[in-house]
Order: sequence, then structure tokens, then C-alpha cells
Amino acid sequence: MKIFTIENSIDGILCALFVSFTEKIVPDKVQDFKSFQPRIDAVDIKITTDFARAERVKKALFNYGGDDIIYLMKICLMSCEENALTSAFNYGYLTLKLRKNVADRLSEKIVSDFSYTVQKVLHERHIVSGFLRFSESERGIMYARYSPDNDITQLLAPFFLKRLGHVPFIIHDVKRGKISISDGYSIKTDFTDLAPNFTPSANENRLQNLWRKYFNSVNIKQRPHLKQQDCYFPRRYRKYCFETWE
Amino acid sequence: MLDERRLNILVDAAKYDVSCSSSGSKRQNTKNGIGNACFGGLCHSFTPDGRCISLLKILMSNDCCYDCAYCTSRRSNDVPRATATPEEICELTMGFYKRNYIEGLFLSSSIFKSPNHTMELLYETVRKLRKEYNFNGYIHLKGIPNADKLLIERTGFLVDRMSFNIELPSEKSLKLLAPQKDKNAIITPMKMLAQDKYFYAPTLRRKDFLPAGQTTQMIVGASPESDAHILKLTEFMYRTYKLKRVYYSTYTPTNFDTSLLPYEQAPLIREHRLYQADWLLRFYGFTADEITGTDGFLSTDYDPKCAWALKNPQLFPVEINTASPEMLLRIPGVGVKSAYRIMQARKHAKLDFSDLKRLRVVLKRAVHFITCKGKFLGGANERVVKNLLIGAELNQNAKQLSIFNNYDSAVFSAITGEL
Ligand code: SF4
Repeated sequence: MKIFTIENSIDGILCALFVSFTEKIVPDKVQDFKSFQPRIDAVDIKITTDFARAERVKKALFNYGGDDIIYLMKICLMSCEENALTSAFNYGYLTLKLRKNVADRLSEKIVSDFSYTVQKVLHERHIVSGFLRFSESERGIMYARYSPDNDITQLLAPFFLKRLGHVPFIIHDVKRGKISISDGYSIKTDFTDLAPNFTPSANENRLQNLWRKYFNSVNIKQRPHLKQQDCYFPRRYRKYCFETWE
Repeated sequence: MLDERRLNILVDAAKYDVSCSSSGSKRQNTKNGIGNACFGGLCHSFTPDGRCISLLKILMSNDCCYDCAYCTSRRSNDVPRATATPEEICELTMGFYKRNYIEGLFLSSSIFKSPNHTMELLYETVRKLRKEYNFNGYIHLKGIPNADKLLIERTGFLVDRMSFNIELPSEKSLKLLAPQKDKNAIITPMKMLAQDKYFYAPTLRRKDFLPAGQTTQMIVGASPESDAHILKLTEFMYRTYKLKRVYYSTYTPTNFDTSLLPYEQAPLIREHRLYQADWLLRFYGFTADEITGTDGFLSTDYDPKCAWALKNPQLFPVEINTASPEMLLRIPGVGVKSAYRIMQARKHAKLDFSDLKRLRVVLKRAVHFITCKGKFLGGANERVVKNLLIGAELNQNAKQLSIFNNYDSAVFSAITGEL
């Protein structure tokens, strides 16, 4: 078994594709070298990231795979699935091998796996953009904590930049210690161990109470359907949705 | 700002409105504004009854001067009354929106003092939101029958979606149960808005006028009309007034002082089937006549697409690799997404059953109506197929049947599910 160990980034994947085609090695797996555990039944080949090589592969991928292929591969890398790197690599490999856009070939396992992983990340981004709860600080900054399955903070922040206009906000992925900060004009994403020092605005408690009241009033108590609530609003996403707390 | 007592009353009276959708509109934020609208809509929470919260669903007032027999806010009903001001609704909407609790506002009202007075209040609220608060999020406004034409038209430029609820499926029932409302008071504004949308379409203002179109809602089971009658009316409204959605709401008894209304709630499965049939009208190219049975009602045993397929055995099985897109859509269990995936994938290779599984096509129902590379894996005869289909239905609805002490989940599965 051959395993490519790479830097967990799109450039890492592109360099792995470069090595695969130039050295004619097709790996069985692609893994992040940071989390890689050597195995006795496998040969691991460490690929170092080289931006010039990555750029060449990127051009070829654009050429054969269409304008959104790199975007989709980046989305795939945000997935929490164990095989996300392999899936993105295989998809890029198939595109370059066939010199065609393979997005439609959904009956091929490589394509359907890749498409499924991408869809799962995009789906989470979509639902979480509804489930995020901001609180207003006394300085007028909106702050939201959450812990998504996939690493979607970078996807979410632009959505809220467009939506909230010039209102500054912070989105904090507590699970990964990742934070996206917007001053109302641009976004900066980084890692942090610190929880922001948050003092709520004067209005915050009242609005939170009204929201809780609203949530209870709009529910039709005579028609409970908790299974359906669980299905559309999985419990892990309710951690910061205080209206659902008992 | 609105206090908790009034919030409770105004939300409680609004919660039976089925629509909470924030879809159909795509609006960018403006320079000094707040909010935008995304085309597919967004759910922000789900209540323990399984329904989604997307919009702040609230009445301006529940102090109604009409007396519709089926409604809790009717004049003759002894319930607490409350009215909000436009400013209070705006503040609440902005506060909730900024915190990402909602996607926008669904504002409606009882007839407070008079139709024009009520419509003016509603207009003033949405005007304030758009012009003073620079709010660019989603607004759905329920229009007031008998209100001034100009006022309704001007509101159309400020909101994403408007709805005039048809309430009951026939004029006769409307006269009987909602004597102050008449068919024309509902149909005329609907027609006018449809014409306006068409009129503004070629101009620069088209994107500003009701970008998410119109919807309506009717109560099922309070009056004797058949499913065929309801679906024909639905089909007519989709075609003539270009409605985006027709919502059905199972009648729930709240008024036991009259013999005009049934004492029992209509079976929720009926509403579920109507939503499924509605889906077929809108996305699958079916007509109302094709779907309903000879008795004028939808089958309760099978979903309407299965019932149609069983009535037309001469058209099946269909070869998945060669069927036309229209025919793919008519296979029970194959939804729009699955049909699209099949069409994409079969361009590159002939598909068999394992390929369909990989494409995530649900085969439980479809297997009895298709062949793959000439192979058929369905039930041996009609009786077996019918039993298996009923089994599949019961399995799938094991969850849903519990709503069938709760109609909204049926609504939901129909809204989100595919046939
Ligand atoms: S006009 Fe509307 S709120 Fe008033 S009684 Fe009739 S249905 Fe109810």
C-alpha cells in the first residue's frame, strides 16, 4: 500500500498530483503528515509543498475540470471525513487522467464520493448559517460561538459580511479554536486559544428573552413531533441555540 | 418595544398560518443597509412540533371586526386582544435579524377597525423597515381583502411576497363560513398583483415588485369540497395567477358553537396527500385530472404518483437508460434530483441497479416500475407490488403517522420530501 503524506491544503493536494503524474505513482491513500501514523504494511511518500508545481497543476485542472474545480476541492478539504484528502486527490487525478470535466460521471465511485463529501460540507454551511446565534456586545460587536462538524468558518464569514453590512462580527469555532473577525469591511481568519472578553449590550438580555418567548409561543403544543425536530435540527447544533434549552 | 404579553398573543394567533418560507427572492444588501435574501431561503430553528422558524410570524393585531366561523380571532370569540405599532414590529424584527434568529418578517393581521386602516398599518410597518431601518431581509405580507387597490399595489414594491388567503375552496363555503368576505375581495387583488407583475416585468422595476411572487392558503376539511375540486382550483390558480405556492391547512375545530363546522379534525393524511399532489402539479408535469381517483379523492394507501402508476400499468416498466426525462419524473420514488443525476450519469455509461444506489436513487418504490439494462427486480405481479408499496408507505410514514396527530409534520415531509 502506498500512502502520500502531504500538507493539509489545496497546494498540498496539487503537489501530490504533480508527483503522482511525473513519478507515475498512484497512491492508495493521501494523508495529512501532521496526523499520519506510520504503518508496517504501507510505504509512505512524503510530498513537500512547492507553489510553482502547485500552480502548474492548478492551470491544468482549470483547463480540464472547469472554473469551479479548485473551489470544490477546497470545500472537500474542509470536510471532517477521514478520506477527504484522498477523495479530493482522486477526483483531481481522474480529471487530469481523462483530461475532461468528470463532474457528471456520478456512477463512478470516485466522483460520487467526492460529490457526496462536497455536498455534506455545503449542506452544513447552509444549515449552520441559520443556526448561528449572535449576541451583541456593549461595543456593538456581534459575537457567535459554534462547533461545526466540518471546518466551515471560512465559508460562513463572507455570508455574514454580506448580510450584516457594516456591523462588525466575530464567528468563533470553539472546537478548532478558529476565529473569523470582520470589521464590517473585510474578514480575517486565524487560530486562537482565547475566548473573547464579552460584555453583553444593555438590550441583549431583553431580546434573548423575547426570542425564547417567541419560540415557545409559535410552537403548537398539542402537536408535538420531536422526531421531526431532531431530524431537521440535530441536537448537536442546539448547543448554542439557547431558545431550545430546557 | 413589544412586551412579552402582547408578543405571546400576537404570535399565538399567527402560528396557524402554514407558510414560513423565506425562499424565492434574491436581494443584495445595500450600502448602509442590513440584510439580504437568499433564493433558497433559510431555516433558523425548529420548534418541538417539528416546524421550522424562518420568519418572525406575527399579527399586527388580533382585534378582528369580522366573524369567520373557523377562526380563533373572530369577533365573537372571547380571547385576549392585542395590537402592536409599526415601530414595535420594526424594532423586534431588526433585533432578531441582527442576532440571526430569523430570515425576515411574515406580517399579517386581523381586520382591525377596517380593512383600509389595517392595510395602512401593515404598509407603514414595511415602509419603515425598508426606508428607515434600511432592512433588506425577506418580508412576506398577508394582504387584507377589501383594502384599497392602490395601497396593496404600493405594498407590492416593498415586500418579497404577498398572499391573499383563499380560505375555503368554494364561494358557497366562503359565504357560509366567512360571511364578511367574498370571493372577489380575495381574487381581485390576487389577479391585480399577477397583472402588475406581468406589467412591470419588462421594465427596470421588475425585480422590485414582489420578487418572490404570491401564495395562498386554504382550509381543508371544514367544507365538503373533494380533492379533485381543490386540486383543480389549485391548478387554475397556478396557471392564471402564477402563484408560487398553495398551502393547505387541515381544519382544526376551535369553534363548537356552530353546526356549520364539523366537530372533528379532518384526517391529516388528506392534507399530506394534497401536498404530494400539489408537488406533482408544480414540478412533475401532471394535471389535476390525472392524479385524482374516480371518486374525486386521492388514495390514502399510496402516494399520488404511485396511485397514478398503478392505474397506468401499460406504461411500465421503464428502461432507466433510455427513458425520456418526462417519463423518468413519472416513476414512483424518482424525484427531480434523482432524475437529473440519472440523466447526467447515463451519458457516460449504461446504468444498472448498483449504479442507481451509488447515485443515491431510492429504489424502494422505483424498483417495481423500472428496468436497468433490461433487468427487472420488482414484484412478480400486481397484487405483490401493491402490498410492497403499502409496506413501503407504512414504513416511511411510521414517523409521519405520529403527526397524523400533528398535521404540520405531514406538511413538512411533503414540503421537503420527494415522491
Ligand atoms: S378576518 Fe381573518 S382574523 Fe378575522 S375572523 Fe376572519 S379569518 Fe379570523
